[in-house]
Amino acid sequence: MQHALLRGGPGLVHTQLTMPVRSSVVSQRIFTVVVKACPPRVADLQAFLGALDAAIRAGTETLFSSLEQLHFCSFTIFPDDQLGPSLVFESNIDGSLDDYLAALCRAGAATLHAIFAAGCDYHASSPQPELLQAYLRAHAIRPATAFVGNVGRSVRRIRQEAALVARIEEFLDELAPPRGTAPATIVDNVRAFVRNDPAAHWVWDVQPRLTAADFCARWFSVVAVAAGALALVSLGPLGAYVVALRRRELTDPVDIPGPSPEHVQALTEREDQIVQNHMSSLCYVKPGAFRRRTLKVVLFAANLVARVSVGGKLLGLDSLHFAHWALIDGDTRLLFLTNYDGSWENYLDDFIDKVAAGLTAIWSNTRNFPRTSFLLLDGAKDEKRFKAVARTTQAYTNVWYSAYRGLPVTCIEKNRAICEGLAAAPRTLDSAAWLRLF
Amino acid sequence: MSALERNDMQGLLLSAYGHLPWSANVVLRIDAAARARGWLGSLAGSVTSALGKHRTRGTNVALTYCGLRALGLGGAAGFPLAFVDGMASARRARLLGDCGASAPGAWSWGSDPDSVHVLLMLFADEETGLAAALAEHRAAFAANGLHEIVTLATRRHRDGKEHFGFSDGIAQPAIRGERSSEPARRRTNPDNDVAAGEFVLGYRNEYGRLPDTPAVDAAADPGAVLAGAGGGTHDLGRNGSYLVFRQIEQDVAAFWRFLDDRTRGSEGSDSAARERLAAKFLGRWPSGAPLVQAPLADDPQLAAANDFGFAADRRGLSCPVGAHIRRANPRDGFADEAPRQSVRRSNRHRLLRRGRPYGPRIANVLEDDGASRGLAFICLNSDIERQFEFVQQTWINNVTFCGLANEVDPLVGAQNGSGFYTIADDPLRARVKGIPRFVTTKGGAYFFLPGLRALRFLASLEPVAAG
Repeated sequence: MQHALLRGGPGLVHTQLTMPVRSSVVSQRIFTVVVKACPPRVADLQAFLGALDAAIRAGTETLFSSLEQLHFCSFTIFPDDQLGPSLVFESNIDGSLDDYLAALCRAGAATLHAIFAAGCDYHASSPQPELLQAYLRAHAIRPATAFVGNVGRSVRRIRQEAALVARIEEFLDELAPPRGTAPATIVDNVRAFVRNDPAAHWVWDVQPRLTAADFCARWFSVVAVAAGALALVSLGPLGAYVVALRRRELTDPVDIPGPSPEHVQALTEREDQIVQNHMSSLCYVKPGAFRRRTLKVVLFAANLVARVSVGGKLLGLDSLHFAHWALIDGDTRLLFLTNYDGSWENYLDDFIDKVAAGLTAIWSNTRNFPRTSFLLLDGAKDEKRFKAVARTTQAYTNVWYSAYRGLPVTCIEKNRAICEGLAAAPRTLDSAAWLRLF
Repeated sequence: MSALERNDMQGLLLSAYGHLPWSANVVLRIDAAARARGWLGSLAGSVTSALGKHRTRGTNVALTYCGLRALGLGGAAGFPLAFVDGMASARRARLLGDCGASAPGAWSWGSDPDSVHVLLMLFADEETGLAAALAEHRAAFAANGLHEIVTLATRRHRDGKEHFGFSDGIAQPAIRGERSSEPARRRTNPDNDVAAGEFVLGYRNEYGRLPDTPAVDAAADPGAVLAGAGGGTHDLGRNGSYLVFRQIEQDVAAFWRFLDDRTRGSEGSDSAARERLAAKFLGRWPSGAPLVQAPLADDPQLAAANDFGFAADRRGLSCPVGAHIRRANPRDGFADEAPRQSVRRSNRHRLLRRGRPYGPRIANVLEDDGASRGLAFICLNSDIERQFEFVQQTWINNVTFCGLANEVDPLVGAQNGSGFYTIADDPLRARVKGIPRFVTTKGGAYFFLPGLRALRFLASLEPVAAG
């Protein structure tokens, strides 16, 4: 059981983890739990989660903010007429899942007990950390595609770097070097300043987040897995597949009544409070094995792309902290959870501008997606309909926590580059380029 | 692509009425629906269309969602949420940056959306002509069930400058394939051509799609005043647009005094340095010359220059990345994209700007004379969320715009006094700190600028039960 549950993380993305003492490189993982909620208990659950969320917004929440490995977490209740309500709990964390679950269930037993008491199959009569851990593990789902934006940056390191860079910025304002000052001279000044900063001793140990060997290993595994997959997964002759696909693309029903104004109102009410936003979406996979298999292959391929996207960007999208897709309920529904920067409109426009083909390839296998051609074309390019489907399948995130509310992905990447530059041997640093990071 | 139906479009869509410099924006509330419909019907006959050129007078009219309801429009579907919400709603206010002194609760008009129904825009070639037109209309308001909420008299000055002292309205998008009243020299940049559907309902937009349009049941339009829209509906939106109107007060003395304070040398004020810093904030010199073409000093020869991009100045050494004109229209300057893609992306968020200054010009920019002045901001777009609100939220007020951190538009952004402004330089950037808010929103609303057939339809509405 232990083994199967470890795979509950983003299987391909992260293997067994250890946290080296001196190295700054810690891997991130995504852990998501889906449980069926008992309808009569949903109203109480909503109220409880609402209070928890209000505490987070007011800055008085103490559980999540005490977990030093937690980047983001969310609770979402997805209502559904056919399958009944589901409760989804998502965590984006550093390091080992065991450590996280132990800490979470120890510090948050009462909270989790109150929440999961709404689960149809939750039977504990009092908050018990061990039972909660087992319950969460038993309901963990396996993301098919997972992406991490700031690879190799722990919560602790993200906060440390942001604070140090802010101090360096202030120092540089004071320094105000006249034009013509040699870049190396300015950098020397900064180094001396940081050396005298007792809170910055860690910076000299900052390692590049991926060694060349790590990077090669990622690519190697991708190539090996892709080759193996191609050999194993057969869609039959490509021509026959395309014919079958086109037939469906022309006849699949597209019925988009559009989201109700009240629904959009509720979603937008909670957006844009801070730099980041959260999106929870759940939609039905089109019926039949053809679409289900196509979707699995596409998600598999997308995961390979995500795995080698380590520069804070996924195909040019630089606003994603974490994102993952998972098939749940016997592969009948597609779950998508993401923590991103900026407005929803901008996020969706970015999606359309930069990754429309990928989006279309994934979501065209779900109901009511705008019409596509050859799996990759059109679809998401039908901007208004695409946004209407996105809003319709999106659910209100009941609880959302962020460990660094003011920091976008790009800023974390910039801080990382600044700190890696400080830690690099002075001879190897391009001082002028480093100063341009500010 | 079909040609524009100019005879069904209000003139403001294709012209800024540069030849009619005197103008007034009259905001009205409808108190009696039937009489107001009669008024609108007679007004429709004199509304300036986009077809002819009115040499001495111009009249255009727009309505808010509450205004359409007050007029008796019951069952129209397809109005976008932003328009239905209205500018003063809490959600809209947050994404527009209307907080603190700019919060709707503190506005001098418009905080109650049901008090703002109609925007009557009058243009004239002479001051006396405007006064006469205004007096004529005012004499008829009460009898027609209309109540005047506020009137902002505006004026396009000969030098085209707004109150901070900069040439304004230079960068206008051009509608692809259409002749326009814009001077030809401003139309040399093909990057600036944008699909008609970005501004006018009923035409293809930059995605190659028809914008969403409001429609009414065919039964509600028995005379078929409107064009058919399929599915038993008639098209209320066709040849119309959405008009954003905001009264933006400018604290001119605060702006120049702040710049003066940051550029003072041992000799005291340094007017050249002050102007240089102002240009770095804006991205253009007072004449309008863009910094990317005139990095060191103002150059009146380039006053109307619009044929430029930011790709060659990616780092912002000439024009800082966070400068007002880069945030308002990033052109080809998105660092993460090829210039071509960047232009296409920018062009999905363009606005036809029709704003003009109100209030007297300041005599000495360093001395607060207590007068109320600012910009009657007016822009036209077919999708308020994807265009006006997007620009405001994702570019102007975005603290992470193009990789920046902790700063918003230095000129018109929702500053809270703790923001920065980064000016790229070698070997090291400079940062301006503690920028206050120089502009305050005093009122505003989202309007629908109907086509002429739609105006006649609205004037002929059958009375419906309220609700």
